[in-house]
Amino acid sequence: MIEFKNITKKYPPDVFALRDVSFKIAAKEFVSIVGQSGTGKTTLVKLIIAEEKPTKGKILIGDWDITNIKPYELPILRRQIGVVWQDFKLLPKKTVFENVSFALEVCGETPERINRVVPQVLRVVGLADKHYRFPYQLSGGEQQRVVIARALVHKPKILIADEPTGNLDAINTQGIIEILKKINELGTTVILVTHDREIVNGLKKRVITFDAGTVVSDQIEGKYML
Amino acid sequence: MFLVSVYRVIKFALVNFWRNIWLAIVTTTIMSMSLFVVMVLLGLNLVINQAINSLHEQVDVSVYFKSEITPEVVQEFQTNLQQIPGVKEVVYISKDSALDNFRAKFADNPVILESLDELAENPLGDTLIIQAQSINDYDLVLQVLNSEELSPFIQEKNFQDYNNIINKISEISATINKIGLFLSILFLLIAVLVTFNTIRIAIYTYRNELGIMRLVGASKAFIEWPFFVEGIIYALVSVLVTTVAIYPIAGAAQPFLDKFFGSSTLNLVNYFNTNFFKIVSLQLLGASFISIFSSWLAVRRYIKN
Ligand SMILES: Nc1ncnc2c1ncn2[C@@H]1O[C@H](COP(=O)(O)OP(=O)(O)O)[C@@H](O)[C@H]1O
Ligand SMILES: [Mg+2]
Repeated sequence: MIEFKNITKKYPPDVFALRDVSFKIAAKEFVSIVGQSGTGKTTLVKLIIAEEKPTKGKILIGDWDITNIKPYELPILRRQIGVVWQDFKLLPKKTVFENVSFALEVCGETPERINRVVPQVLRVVGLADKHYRFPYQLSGGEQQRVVIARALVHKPKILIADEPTGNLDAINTQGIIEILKKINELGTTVILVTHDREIVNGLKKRVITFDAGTVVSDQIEGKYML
Repeated sequence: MFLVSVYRVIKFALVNFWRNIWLAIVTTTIMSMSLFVVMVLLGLNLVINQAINSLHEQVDVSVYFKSEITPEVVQEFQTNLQQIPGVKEVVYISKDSALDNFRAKFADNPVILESLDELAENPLGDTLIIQAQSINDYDLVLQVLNSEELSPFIQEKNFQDYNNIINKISEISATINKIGLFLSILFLLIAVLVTFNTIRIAIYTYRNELGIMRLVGASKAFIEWPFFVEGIIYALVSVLVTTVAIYPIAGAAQPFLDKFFGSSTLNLVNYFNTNFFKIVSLQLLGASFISIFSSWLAVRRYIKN
């Protein structure tokens, strides 16, 4: 599903965020990416959605080589990959429903499809009863679930969450992780970037550990090591 | 599906417009002023050209023949003069109608009329009035009239030369054009800068939305077009404002123009009425070009892929 072949990413002038990184992630896998701050995890996410281009190496999504993706192909790629960032990027003046439907509207989807899909994804994240709330009327966990719902509207094959629980307390964190597991069980490849030891140890799934821009371990049923 | 997107893009642009309504007002004001300056320049040019043309038409040469020359001879001259290249027409005025004209001209001057009556014979001769195609063609006409062979027949000739006035008006016109062109360019530049800045701020205001749009895979067109449409809205509103403003202003300016250029001056309001669609569509074209160009600059500069 996703393959990194000898990826090096250098930010100008000379920051090496990733050095010669290679790994493969299969379809429907649940993979945690762990590592201390500044080890290139977010850079890795940006490379997958082609927000950054690798300095060296090759990236394949499915059998699509996105290393030198054309600007007009970006929308096609990004509709297949849902992304959740640490800071909830919700629109404060839109309701929960509108925040999610926005993602479909700007992609030219019809009102019929929007009215069908939005309630579906809000049900998946457990917000079926909060369509008309505004972001400020929600808890941090609920806000993050709206973001996850929005990332799901195109029924992506891959969902990437970059420290989705960074701003949340333990209970909300657990809620988010449960939702990610559920999405994975429904057939989506999930990549979870985190440095939360308890989450990783509780998941009992594959863990890829980064340090200083390189993969230092890749375990099928991993533990948080550093 | 395409229409849905078009609808959403336009809605998005209208929301943009309202969100920064004060900027929108400033932008449309500046753009209207630019259009207005260009319109004033064009209007003045129209008036001046018309004035110069009508002066050109008034230029002619009158040739007064000696009174003893017979009409047959004069008419032969008329035919010959007509052959000179560049001559538009040669009008023959008989001595009798010349006398009538003369009497009419001095109808309220009994002294002149009385002394005319005392003469037994009509003292005036036949007259030919020559009009050339253009002002430069008179050189050749005058050359012929001044020739040795003609002088025995001719009492007097009068070249009604408006060259001085024409030159003066042309001079004024050139100055107005220079100042006008400078002002137009200045205003157009300001319009571009202001529109660019407004779109830049709109992009900034929408940075969260734009980020999300990119992230969820909105197409480049969907991301960029709202800002072009916003530019087109500015163009539409400014053309509307300019068109509405131009009537009372042209109406108010007309008496002054008439005074300066004479009563045959082009009537601007009539001119606008007869050329309404041409003028409005030209304005629309120009204003849209400016605003789309400025929006494009801002989009290119501030929206990344
Ligand atoms: N746009 C950028 N320009 C320059 N350096 C950057 C940029 N983004 C990240 N970096 C640097 O690259 C390294 C990796 O960053 P990042 O991928 O964000 O790590 P992580 O997500 O693991 O904290 C850091 O040293 C960071 O300062
Ligand atoms: Mg990070």
